[in-house]
Amino acid sequence: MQLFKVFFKILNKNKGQLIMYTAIYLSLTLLMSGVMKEQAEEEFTGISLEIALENRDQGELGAALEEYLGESHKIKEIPEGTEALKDAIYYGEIDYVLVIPEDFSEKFAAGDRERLLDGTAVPGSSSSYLAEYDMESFLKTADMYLSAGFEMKDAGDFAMEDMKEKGKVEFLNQEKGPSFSRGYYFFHFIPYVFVTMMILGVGVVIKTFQNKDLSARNKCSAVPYLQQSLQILLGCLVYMLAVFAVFMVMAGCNTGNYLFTAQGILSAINALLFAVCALCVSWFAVQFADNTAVLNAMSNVFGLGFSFLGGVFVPLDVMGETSRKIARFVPSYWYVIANEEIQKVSGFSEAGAIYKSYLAVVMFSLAFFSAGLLANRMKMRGR
Amino acid sequence: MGTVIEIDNLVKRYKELIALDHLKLTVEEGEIFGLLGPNGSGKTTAINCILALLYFDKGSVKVFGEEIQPNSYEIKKKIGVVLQNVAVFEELTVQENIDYFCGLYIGDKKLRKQYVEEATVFSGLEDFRKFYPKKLSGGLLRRLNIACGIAHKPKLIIMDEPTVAVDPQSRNRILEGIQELNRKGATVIYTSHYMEEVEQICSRIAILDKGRCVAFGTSEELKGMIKTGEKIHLEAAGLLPFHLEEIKELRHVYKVDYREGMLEIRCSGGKHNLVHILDYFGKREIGFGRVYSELPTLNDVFLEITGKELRDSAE
Repeated sequence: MQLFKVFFKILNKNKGQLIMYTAIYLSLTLLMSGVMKEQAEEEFTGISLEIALENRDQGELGAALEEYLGESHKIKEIPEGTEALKDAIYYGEIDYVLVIPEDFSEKFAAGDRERLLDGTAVPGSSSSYLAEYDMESFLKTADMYLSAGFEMKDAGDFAMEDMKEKGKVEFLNQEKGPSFSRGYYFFHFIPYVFVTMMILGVGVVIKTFQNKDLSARNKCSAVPYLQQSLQILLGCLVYMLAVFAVFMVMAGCNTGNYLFTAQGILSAINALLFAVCALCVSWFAVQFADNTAVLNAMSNVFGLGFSFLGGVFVPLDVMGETSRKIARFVPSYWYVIANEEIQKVSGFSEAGAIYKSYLAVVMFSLAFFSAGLLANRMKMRGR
Repeated sequence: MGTVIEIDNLVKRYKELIALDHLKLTVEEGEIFGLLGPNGSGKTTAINCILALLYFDKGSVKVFGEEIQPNSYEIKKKIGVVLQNVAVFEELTVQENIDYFCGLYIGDKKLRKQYVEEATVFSGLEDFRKFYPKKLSGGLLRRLNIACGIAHKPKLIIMDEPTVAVDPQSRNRILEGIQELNRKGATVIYTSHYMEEVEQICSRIAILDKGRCVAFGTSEELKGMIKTGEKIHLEAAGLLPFHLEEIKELRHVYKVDYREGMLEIRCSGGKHNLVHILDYFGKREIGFGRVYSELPTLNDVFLEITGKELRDSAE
């Protein structure tokens, strides 16, 4: 097992780079999965403004308006003095300043709507627009009730009730919605990590063994060539499983019990199949790399290329039809599709579509392995 | 004593180029056999065919009495290889490299440890065990390459230009080491384009040119094949053409060359050639400076057989 042992000695020599990449990728994956999860959960919460309000009105509508604004925004006292007020707006301590005048309810009841409220904000700012839109909606609703013959107090109360009704927001073309598990986000970035780790790890070692002189020297030895190849293959598989195991441990730490659910097991299988595919990609890539620098560049080309094209870094939903068609020709696309499908199933019996994606990844593995063999054969003949 | 290698009618082509042209050689057990020839003469191709690293077009190569094939692993166990380019792992130390290559032949850990130690000491690398190849000088690196090739104590050692780009001190050490290995019973095939090395250590020599064996035998036998028996150099100014004609008429002299005050006289054997020439200079009262005589070299053999200088071809 000389070659197998040397495989790991060479890997060990490059461990610094591999550990650094693992740490960076793990941090990135964990960070991104955390950020995306948070974003998805909070994406449609309403925006709350800081409103400095002074209610001089003694009527019921002014009180209702103040109460309504207090429901969805944070009400503050108006700073004393013009300069303090300007500073508060300038430094973003308050978004909007509203003064409800003394005779606001009376004038509103009398139908006088011109310059009823005295509001101040940064001109053209979104906070000014939002605050004024909120107030206008409330007053229009109250006006509707007044016109229908309701008393001022009732009109104010009913308007407030109506305004509490919130619109329901749904994605039209993003079926997964905002409620994906943490496991989904953790596994989502694995294609980039695995492709890069395989090329940088396995690729460097294979490159060494494929060195023209070392290869010739090994062929002169008493160890059969097939056995030499099998020892290197075994080294590749052990390394791949080690990388996979590290990420599964991290997944376990990051996602809790997710890995022990049907979804978690399907995700793990998906990642394992992609690890095999990444191994085959590295075998293919190494045939075209003359030195380690080229191999590093290739890890970026394949890692980033697969990630951007396959929907790892850019969600498939925002990709155009043509891009999605092209994406079908990279394995990471099928990995991402499987990862999304996994979130929709609760058991293995419902996983038909997932198995189809698994099969696609396996086919890509075979294709890259075969292409690598062909390229290797041509290279050997060239020698 | 038996035949270790038998090459018969070997032909190897690279498209239009004929790298080996009906090569025929035998290497006997216990000898240091030299393959001498300029770059591109087919030495490395011949070695690669012996090691079954190359498929050939015609002929046969027998090693230890059996046709060599890529899967002749029993035969390969008995062969040690030192390739022209240093083939070691940059990621392994000196000791790890020797252990790796020795381990390709020797399974027993205890025995391997002993062999690795012996090869390390033999190559004079005991102070560099923990060094990585990058830290070694060119000479030490060549010694490591040799240590990796001979650690498993092979019966046949094939060395393809092991002293290329090596300082004289390391070169002498390597050559002494090869002779030592031969004394211990190993048969050695040694390729080089340095004729002095081949002449120094090889018991028999084959001279290759354009894939053909143009001469074969011991150093003395090879020198005996050519017309030149002695070369005399004489520093003399103002020699006239009739002088040169008269010198050429002297006994055993067959070629005279006079350039920039230096006269080169080639004699076809015989004795006392220098005395005769000096007599002629005395009778003619021609003054002369430095005078020296030398015996023919392998370069002269190569020059006479191929019409070109071995040294020039090697450059």
